[in-house]
Amino acid sequence: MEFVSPEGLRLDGRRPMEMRQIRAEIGAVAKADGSAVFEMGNTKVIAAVYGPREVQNRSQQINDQALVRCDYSMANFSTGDRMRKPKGDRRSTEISLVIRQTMEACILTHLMPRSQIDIFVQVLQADGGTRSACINAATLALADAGIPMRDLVTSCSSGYLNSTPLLDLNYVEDSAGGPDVTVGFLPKLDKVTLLQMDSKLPIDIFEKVMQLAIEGCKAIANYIREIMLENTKQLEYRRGI
Amino acid sequence: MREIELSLNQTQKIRLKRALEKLEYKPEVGDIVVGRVSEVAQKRWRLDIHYSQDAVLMLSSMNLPDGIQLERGQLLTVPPYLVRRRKQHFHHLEQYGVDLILGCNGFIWVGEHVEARDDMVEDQVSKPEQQNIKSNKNSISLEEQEQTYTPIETRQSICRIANAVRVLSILGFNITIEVIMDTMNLSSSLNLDIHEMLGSEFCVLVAEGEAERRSLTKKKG
Repeated sequence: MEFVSPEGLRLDGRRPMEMRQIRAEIGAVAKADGSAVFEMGNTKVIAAVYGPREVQNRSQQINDQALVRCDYSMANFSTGDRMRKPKGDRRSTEISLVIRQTMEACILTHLMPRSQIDIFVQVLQADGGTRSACINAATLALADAGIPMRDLVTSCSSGYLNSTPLLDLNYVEDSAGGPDVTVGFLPKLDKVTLLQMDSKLPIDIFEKVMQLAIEGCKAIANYIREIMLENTKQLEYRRGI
Repeated sequence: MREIELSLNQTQKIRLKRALEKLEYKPEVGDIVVGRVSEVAQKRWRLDIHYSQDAVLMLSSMNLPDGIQLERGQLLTVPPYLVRRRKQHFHHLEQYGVDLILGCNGFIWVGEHVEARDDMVEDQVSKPEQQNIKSNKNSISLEEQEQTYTPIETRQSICRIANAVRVLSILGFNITIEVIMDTMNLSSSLNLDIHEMLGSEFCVLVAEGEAERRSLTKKKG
């Protein structure tokens, strides 16, 4: 199948190095301590953070750091065909784990010993790159909850189809079965916290594709910073500072 | 905390501090808080006080039974930074027969006024936790239940005050007794129904009132 036309356009009309439109919104869940909605094109994800609070299961308590928990789920209406998925299937367990590990790496857990932080992410619309969108939404929600972090982790995916590196794959490109690299990145520290790939790539091309994903992460980080700055300004204005 | 500060520059330090300030609620000695019982044990109760750890209340340190019971009212949760520490956190609004407790941790209690018994020594430690008497409720006989009937006017006042607090917390304004009363009086003077207080029109009016108040305080300063 042709994913990049001879004119250099992708199926949805983007250039190979072009990202989908991103949109973020802070404060979507009133009862949560922090929450956010993150959209990448047609992918839409909502995240809510509760905590730090007392550990619910006493046996899981860690004495010198906070316990981070993450729950990923997909709404039944998120995909084209409405499917009733059993809770805790392999895919969602794996993504929960990935998000948890990525967020745990950037939260300063040692500042909140003997407490627990819960992150809930739900996919409202799925169109490829839900993993990345979930990490971005979770970062925003954690920042909104005022949880101390090393840096804002952002995530973006990239792939390699028709001998072209492509940024931010959508569902059709994702399901083509080609290489798909998802990167989690700390922009200020210039470090990678998450790296996943399906399928195979030669090492020199892999480096190119990964670099492309990192550029995407940086762009998202800039946008997230803007959104947060705006939110903080509004908070300050309300409090009359 | 100290180790990481070494590696941060000034702006980052301030940012971290800001972040930590918003983080839930930071308990300090002498804070008056409202807690919600999350666990009942033999000698102590665990209270959720909106912090990363639960508070422990030793039963030996308080003088219940038959103290003030926090019942027949509403417990509201607002962001903790909206409630500033002040001299007075317990308010009895005589004209409405309503008690209002502003907890430093962002828990706010609005309920019917209860007379303190004479034999009870009031101290700050015992007060906040009294809402948990609900467990005794089952044992109250039918006759007593009739006595605990709350008149409709009081119930309406409770709801009106609670909604005033909700509006202020939606708008993100500092919550003090004066502002709550102003908001409440504004709503009654406009003859608004209680549910209309949460509408956007009323929010605009409250925000205008707050802007006016701020410009007044600035002139004085």
